[in-house]
Amino acid sequence: MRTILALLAAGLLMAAEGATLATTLDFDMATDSLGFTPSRRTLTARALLEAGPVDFSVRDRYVDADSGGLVPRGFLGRNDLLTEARVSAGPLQIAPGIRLNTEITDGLPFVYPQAAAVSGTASYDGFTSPFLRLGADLPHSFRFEGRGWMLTRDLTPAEGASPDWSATGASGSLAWTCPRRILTVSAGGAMSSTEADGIGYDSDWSRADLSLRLSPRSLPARTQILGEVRLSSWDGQNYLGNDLGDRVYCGLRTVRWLTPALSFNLAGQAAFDNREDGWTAAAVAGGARLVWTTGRDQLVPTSLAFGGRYTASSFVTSRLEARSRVHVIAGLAALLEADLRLGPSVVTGAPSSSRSAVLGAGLEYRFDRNLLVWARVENARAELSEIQSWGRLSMGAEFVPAILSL
Amino acid sequence: MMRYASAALVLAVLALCSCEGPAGDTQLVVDSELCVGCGRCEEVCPYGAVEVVEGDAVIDPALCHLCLRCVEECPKGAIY
Repeated sequence: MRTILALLAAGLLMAAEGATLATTLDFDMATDSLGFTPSRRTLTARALLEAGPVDFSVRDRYVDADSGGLVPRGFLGRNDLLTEARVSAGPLQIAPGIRLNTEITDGLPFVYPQAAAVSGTASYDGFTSPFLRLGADLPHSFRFEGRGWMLTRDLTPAEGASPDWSATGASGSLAWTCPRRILTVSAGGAMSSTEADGIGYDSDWSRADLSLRLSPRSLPARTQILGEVRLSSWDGQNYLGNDLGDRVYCGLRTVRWLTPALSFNLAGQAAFDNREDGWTAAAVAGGARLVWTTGRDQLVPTSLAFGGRYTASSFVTSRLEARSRVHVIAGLAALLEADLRLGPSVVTGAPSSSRSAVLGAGLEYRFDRNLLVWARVENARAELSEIQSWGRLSMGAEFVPAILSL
Repeated sequence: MMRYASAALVLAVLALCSCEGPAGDTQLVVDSELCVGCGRCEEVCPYGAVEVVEGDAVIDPALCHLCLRCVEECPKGAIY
């Protein structure tokens, strides 16, 4: 914490003249008919100090959450602080930072990996993770990005020796973008090493990537397409001790504006893995979304969105959703939402593919560009160990003060 | 162009259907276009396998035990 304060002070001193300070503060809370106690509260504060070639950002997020009895996840109360300083020197960018995650309550149990010599759980107390990011704009439209990190986990075992959990990792890529930004070719990789001597766990993996992103410019009017193909070669093992398969990932996204107010989005992805038994399809996903927006130049535009999405891997998920925000008067808008989902559930006794439906209505009010407040009432129904139905009340605020010139 | 996208989607589904199907320990996919970096997946993972890095959830393939809590928790359906 002293290091962070020193960094903060140094950043502020450097920003004595010509600097700007942008801040935001978000708060939301929810309660439900299962517990009638606050089931979730989140407070997020962000600050960005910009002073010429030096930026300094702080993000602090506090969350406490209770499942309300529906899903046996227990209670957690965590504070997560992320600070980063970014220094630009010509084409180079250097950004050291640190992330401090602190469990304030007893927290959720941390389960030891299956591959560890010792099985069991420990109390999760948080982690500390310093990192360093590097970026460089190179000649001929090349760009290098890299990131290295360390992580030390604070775990208190119920019995036995401390796991002594630490990890290190690095990732990097070199990308070339053609002059009209139609094509980006990237080569890179990542590696990670995790050790927990106290429980006899040691795991390493590495990955090499080659990717190609295509965004054609010669398209019919009001149409955008983005395609991506990525080959990842893996070296390492998963939690069962099986080799991680090499993967080919393909993705395609299109947006077509049928009118200036109406857009249609279509996206599809597929992943294929090369494992012991050869290449197999690992996952596919497809989705479509229709969005109608009017009054974009107003403080509160009116929008209607309908969408659906289907995924199939070793399990299936599907989702249908409809969301609307209707401008009523001044900064007031009415919210209506419906969300139907099918997917896996970890609730004991629930079907392997559980269905749920959420219907919600609410109001939100925007005061100029600086403050948004909202409240929403929802009714949820889920097929778990039995059909459960519950109500939920949530509310929140987003505060964006004007940017300060120092 | 929509026709090309639709055709690609249909081909992908057919490719999956024509195979025996992925093994139960196949790596999860995070759709970075849908992920908003809310951190709910990171909160519920009991193995410390998920970390939000620069706004995207990143899953450590060696630590992930495929308990699917992150899949269930994700408000955007970005993990599959």
